[in-house]
Amino acid sequence: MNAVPRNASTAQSVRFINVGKSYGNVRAVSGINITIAPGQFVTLLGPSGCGKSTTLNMIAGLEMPTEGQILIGDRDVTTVKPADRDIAMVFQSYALYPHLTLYENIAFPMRARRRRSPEPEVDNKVRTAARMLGLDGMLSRYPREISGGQRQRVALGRAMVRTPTVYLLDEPLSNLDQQLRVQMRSELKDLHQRLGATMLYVTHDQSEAMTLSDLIVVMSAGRIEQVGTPRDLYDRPANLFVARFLGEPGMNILNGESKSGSLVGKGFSLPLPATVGVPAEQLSIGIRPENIEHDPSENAPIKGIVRTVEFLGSRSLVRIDVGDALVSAFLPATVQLSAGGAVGLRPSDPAKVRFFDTQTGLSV
Amino acid sequence: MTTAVEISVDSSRALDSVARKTRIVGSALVGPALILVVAINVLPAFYGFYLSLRQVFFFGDEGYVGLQNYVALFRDPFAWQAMGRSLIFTFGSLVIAVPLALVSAMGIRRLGKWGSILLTVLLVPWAMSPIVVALLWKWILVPSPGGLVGAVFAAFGMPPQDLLTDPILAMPTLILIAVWRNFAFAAIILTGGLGQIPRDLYKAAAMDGLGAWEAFRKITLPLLASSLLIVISMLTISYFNEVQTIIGLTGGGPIRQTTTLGYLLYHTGFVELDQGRGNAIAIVMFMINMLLIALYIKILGKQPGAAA
Amino acid sequence: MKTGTRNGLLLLGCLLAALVALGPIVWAFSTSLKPTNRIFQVPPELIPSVSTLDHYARLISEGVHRAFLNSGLYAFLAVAVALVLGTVAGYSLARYPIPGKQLVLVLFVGAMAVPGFAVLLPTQLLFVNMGLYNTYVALPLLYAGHILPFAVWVTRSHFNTIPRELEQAAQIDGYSRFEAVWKVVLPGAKPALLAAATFGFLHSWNDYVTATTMVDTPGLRTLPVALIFFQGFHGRDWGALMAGVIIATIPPVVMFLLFRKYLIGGFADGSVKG
Repeated sequence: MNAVPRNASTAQSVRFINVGKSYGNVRAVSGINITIAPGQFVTLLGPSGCGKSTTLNMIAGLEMPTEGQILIGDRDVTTVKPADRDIAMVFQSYALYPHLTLYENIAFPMRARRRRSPEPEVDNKVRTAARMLGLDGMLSRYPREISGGQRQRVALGRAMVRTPTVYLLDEPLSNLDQQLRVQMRSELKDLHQRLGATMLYVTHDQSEAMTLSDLIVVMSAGRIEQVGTPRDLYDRPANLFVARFLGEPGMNILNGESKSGSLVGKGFSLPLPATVGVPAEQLSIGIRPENIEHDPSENAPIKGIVRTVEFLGSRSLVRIDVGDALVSAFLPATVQLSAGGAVGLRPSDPAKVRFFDTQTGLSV
Repeated sequence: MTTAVEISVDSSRALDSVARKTRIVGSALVGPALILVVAINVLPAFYGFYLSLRQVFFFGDEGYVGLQNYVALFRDPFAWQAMGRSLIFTFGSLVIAVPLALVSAMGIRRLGKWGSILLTVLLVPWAMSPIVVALLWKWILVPSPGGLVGAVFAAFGMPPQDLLTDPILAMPTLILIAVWRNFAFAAIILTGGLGQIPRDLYKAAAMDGLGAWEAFRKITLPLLASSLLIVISMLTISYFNEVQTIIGLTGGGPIRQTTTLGYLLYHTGFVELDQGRGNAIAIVMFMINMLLIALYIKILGKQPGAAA
Repeated sequence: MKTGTRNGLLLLGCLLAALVALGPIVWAFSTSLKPTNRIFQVPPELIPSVSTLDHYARLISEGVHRAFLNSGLYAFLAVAVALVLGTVAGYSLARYPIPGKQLVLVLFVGAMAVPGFAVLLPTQLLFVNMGLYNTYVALPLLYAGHILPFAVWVTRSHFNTIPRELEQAAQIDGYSRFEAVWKVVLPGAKPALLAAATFGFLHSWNDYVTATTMVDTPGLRTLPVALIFFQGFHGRDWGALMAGVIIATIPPVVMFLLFRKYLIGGFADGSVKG
């Protein structure tokens, strides 16, 4: 255990101060301000093209920002070469060196001229890392001779032996099949806890982000939408984008107008709580699928037509057309519904209904 | 707070300089190669054009003469004859080489491992020096019953023929030797092109009731079109500029029957040392090359799914 | 039955093709081993009943081996220069932002398409004026210039296929950019480098027109030029001439056979996939 030291001592904070990056006239990312505490697991989450990989590459030094600063610990690394940043990165493609054995791949960072370790130490660290990752016995193989999951572990091993200040992980699980992905996800979580390292993780998969992270940074179109813990983001999305993006399926959004203390739209009419007041004429409500329940009564606040019913065992995922919107709801399997039939719904807990300004998309 | 702003001014300056540095490094790395290529391949073309406007004889520059070299060239019936010979040589070789390469490529595909061995064997002549090929074939064609071709004639009860000095047979002989030398190069590209046609298409065609010939015409040829055009363009340019085998085999003779434009350039510029005129021929050849390349790029560009 | 006949025909065609391709070379080899008085023997003998190495010895006594060494030296220098400059340029064209990159690429492709022969005459005058005519540098320099566009092209195509992440990973692992390229990218570039080297060697070794127009002194001649001169003096000495054909053919053919996989791949990549 000593040979692969916990990174707690080396783990560093990361700070982005007003970082932006343009390619010619195209702004890839702008106004990035993030503070990451040492030892935190932070995920950059967003759809492809949202600028999350660019942001990660800027910490790595693979891309230079066009404005702002990046600090690792107290050190301004904005223009420092990747080799001098003391970071480790796991790539989506793993980027294993095809002409080197697994042993040589993992040892590679410790054999760099600028920080060469003595060979006995290299050997010790490679073997310990291999043991931790279940790679012992195959160290003399080449990357092409092992499976995707094993490649993934080699890439992690190569990062670990460095005892870096920060781990950068760029969609490391996206090339694995579903089952392996879930398994590696928990291995990764376990590894983070054992190493106590600062890890920065990029993904477009919100379930990965939710299960792994201490902190999630949701990005879209080159900007940060919201920063918070998984629970914060899930319960209190700051805007419509985050509301829709998180959750499987995402939050249901219904657009309406405020009329004498109620929000009224096609197929629904819900009272506006006093805490919300009437901040704007056009408002949207957001309800998570699990916060909806069946309301068989005449005056159900939400009324729609069942489109599909997916039986999931203990409950069913029901898709319902409400006005122009398609609402998803998890309903007990005991509720008998069939496609094409009318159905009444209501929020199970009015406190969990969110309200957004339709124009700005912001939570109110 | 103030410090952060200060650092940020510094780092924005540093960022600019990093970006500038990358551009400079990139250019510095391409520089030497670019300079050498421009010096060896591009500058001489311009110098040649300059010289073609001057009277240059035996390395002595006797001054500007305008288009006189070109005018003389266009009035020279021998130059037109050479142009004709170039066309005959180029298209004669193409007409034989391309179908031969296509047939070989299809055989090579069908034979699998043995096919690639056959391809290697067929490429051996291509790996040889053209002038050495000329020497070799001079001996093969030597007009004596002791020569290889002479022995073949003898077997049919015919006296040995000197194919290379026969005004009618010299050109076809040159063409056959040119094809022998490099048709297999075309077969490489066609084999590669055939390899990209999914085999399932032929299965589907067989189910649709197409015969072998029909499948060839309706599947192979259209899908091979871009490879064929590449092959035809490369061979055209290579045959049009062929000069070494002609120097070695016939020296442009007999009675100018094998004097192509390329050989005329060689003879005018390097043997007669009429360098002004030679450069005019070179420029004309250069233009024709450019025209051919442009033509092929245009045709290839229009080809759907073309690789170029 | 039908496929049987077809395969039979195919086999026959192959044998015939192989015979036509190799027959003349085998015949030349046979001739080079025959004593002079048996060379024109009727009927001709494929396997000489009496054989001798006299013709090869004669080439050496006439100093042709000197030309052989020159050819090798020129080809080696040209390939070395072209590979170093070409790899560096190919890499930076694949990876760096370079002002006017499109133009540079067009220039390299254009230079590859234009046959060197069309610019040989002005080159000769340039070299005469610059004092490079008839020197040891003349031919390596020209050959390097001829090979370079192809070298740039294959290496660039190759680097384009290597994921950038590989060298980025190495840089993050603590290596400088140069070290990353040297240790991680170049080992995988062997096929492209060998394709360029083989092409370059064949081009340089096999050339005649450039060599005959750029050097003059016997001591500077290449093998093909020396053989043509030898033919000029001893036109009917077919035994020695065929010995010359054989020694001029062995190096490029061996080189081609060794690396044909890479060369064929390089051409197929360069032309079909663009």
